[in-house]
Amino acid sequence: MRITIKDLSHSFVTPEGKMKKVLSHVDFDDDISTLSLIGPSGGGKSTLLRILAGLIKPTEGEFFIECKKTGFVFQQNGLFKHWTGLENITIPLEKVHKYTHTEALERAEELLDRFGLLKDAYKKPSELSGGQQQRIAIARAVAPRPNLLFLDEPTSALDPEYTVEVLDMINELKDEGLNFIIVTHEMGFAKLACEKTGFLSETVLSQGARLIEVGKSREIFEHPKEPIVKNFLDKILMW
Amino acid sequence: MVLRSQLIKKVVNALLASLLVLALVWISVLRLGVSFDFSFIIQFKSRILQGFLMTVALSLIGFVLSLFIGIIAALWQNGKILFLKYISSIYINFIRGTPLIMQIYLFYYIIGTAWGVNNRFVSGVLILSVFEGAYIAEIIRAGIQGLAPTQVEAARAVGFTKSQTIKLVIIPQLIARILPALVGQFSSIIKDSSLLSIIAVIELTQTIREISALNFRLFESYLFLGVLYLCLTIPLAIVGKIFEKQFSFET
Ligand SMILES: Nc1ncnc2c1ncn2[C@@H]1O[C@H](COP(=O)(O)OP(=O)(O)OP(=O)(O)O)[C@@H](O)[C@H]1O
Ligand SMILES: [Mg+2]
Repeated sequence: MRITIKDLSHSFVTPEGKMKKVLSHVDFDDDISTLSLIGPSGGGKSTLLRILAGLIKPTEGEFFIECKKTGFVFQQNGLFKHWTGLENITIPLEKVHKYTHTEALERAEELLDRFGLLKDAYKKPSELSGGQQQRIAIARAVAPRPNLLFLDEPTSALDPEYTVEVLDMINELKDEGLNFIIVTHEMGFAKLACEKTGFLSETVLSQGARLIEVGKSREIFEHPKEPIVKNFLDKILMW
Repeated sequence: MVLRSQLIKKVVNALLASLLVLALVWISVLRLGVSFDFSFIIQFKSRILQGFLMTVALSLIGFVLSLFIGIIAALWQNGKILFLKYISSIYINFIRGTPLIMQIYLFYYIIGTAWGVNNRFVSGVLILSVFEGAYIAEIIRAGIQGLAPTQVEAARAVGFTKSQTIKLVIIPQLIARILPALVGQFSSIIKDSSLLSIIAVIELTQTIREISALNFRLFESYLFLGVLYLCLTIPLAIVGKIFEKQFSFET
């Protein structure tokens, strides 16, 4: 799937009324199936993901994604709190994707059953563990069969045991041909499960982050070209 | 088994607490040296019933009107039009910053003389609604502010339109957040309506005042008055608790 980003910049207005540049002249042009975005905290990864997903408009620049339907998974609290897990999946299918109620129910049950979530279908998010919530959020995002899924640190709010079940689920969906872009701190997952990896960070020279290096995951992790990437990986992989 | 022993503990403590309160009342009554005479209830039953119904009517109409006023004030305050924002701000701060009794006298005078509204019931309902509306506006404002921004972003992410987001996500969550407080405010309206007795709206409190002025059965009259208000407010408190439980997904 072709993704093109041209000279994209984004600034936020801070509560004090100043402009804060978060992304600065991001360029990208590549075919991807699965891409992980890594980089230091506050580096603008979430911002870039939300722009690509159409949740916010960039202040400058443009991008093209060759696909019609996308899905999004938030770090946490992305499920609608007043609906059960099942309703979280069926109502968007009915209201947005024009499924009939029966079709929506069938699709939701098929997914929930497959990922062992059927027994939680009638619970509200507040009655579910973080891991269950995230897996239902992923089920909701893939239910309308999107061509591309965006995931923003889907496991960073979870305990290790739940992290594994969520990453397993994503990996399983990948094996079925789902394309995704994931922001993650799980370096193992980025390296082993994602075809490509991009490193997003500010540099000493620029205010606002750029994509410093993009390439095959293995290469980035084993032979990073940019010193700043190497530094980051050395630090993060020390433990 | 644990549950059972907890239940016993609760029942015993509830009984003890009730006994203590009853004993205190009893001792006070003994010290007053009065004998009970509740015969006035039968004697004046149609007047009391009328007063009771009047209080119910005042409160119900007042609640509906104040809800209406409160929603508008909250929307104005959260809106972008600065002029309306200030109007709403002045209204809310003035009402919440001054006592109801002062507002009743002032508005009754203004409404009555300047606007020519001579019907006490209508004036009473208007005054009550304007007063409670400010509190309801605050409840709604706090409810709107407490809505998680992530929920709106999630709505966008699943593809809801703006109107779908409002209808399917914002309003249901807002109602869930504010319903328990609104029920509490309804209870306040019932109690606050008693102050309308000062402009001689013949509601429950005024009825009892008139009766006690006739028979001098002050203690029994006001005790009974309290019981009648509790008949209205305790069910509401229970409803409020039920709503709170039902909508606990918020937390
Ligand atoms: N709505 C907003 N208003 C103002 N500033 C924002 C907003 N969202 C993000 N920022 C700022 O933009 C910068 C980048 O944020 P972003 O969330 O994209 O980083 P990130 O790489 O995802 O970080 P993390 O790894 O901690 O999630 C941060 O400094 C953040 O404070
Ligand atoms: Mg982030």
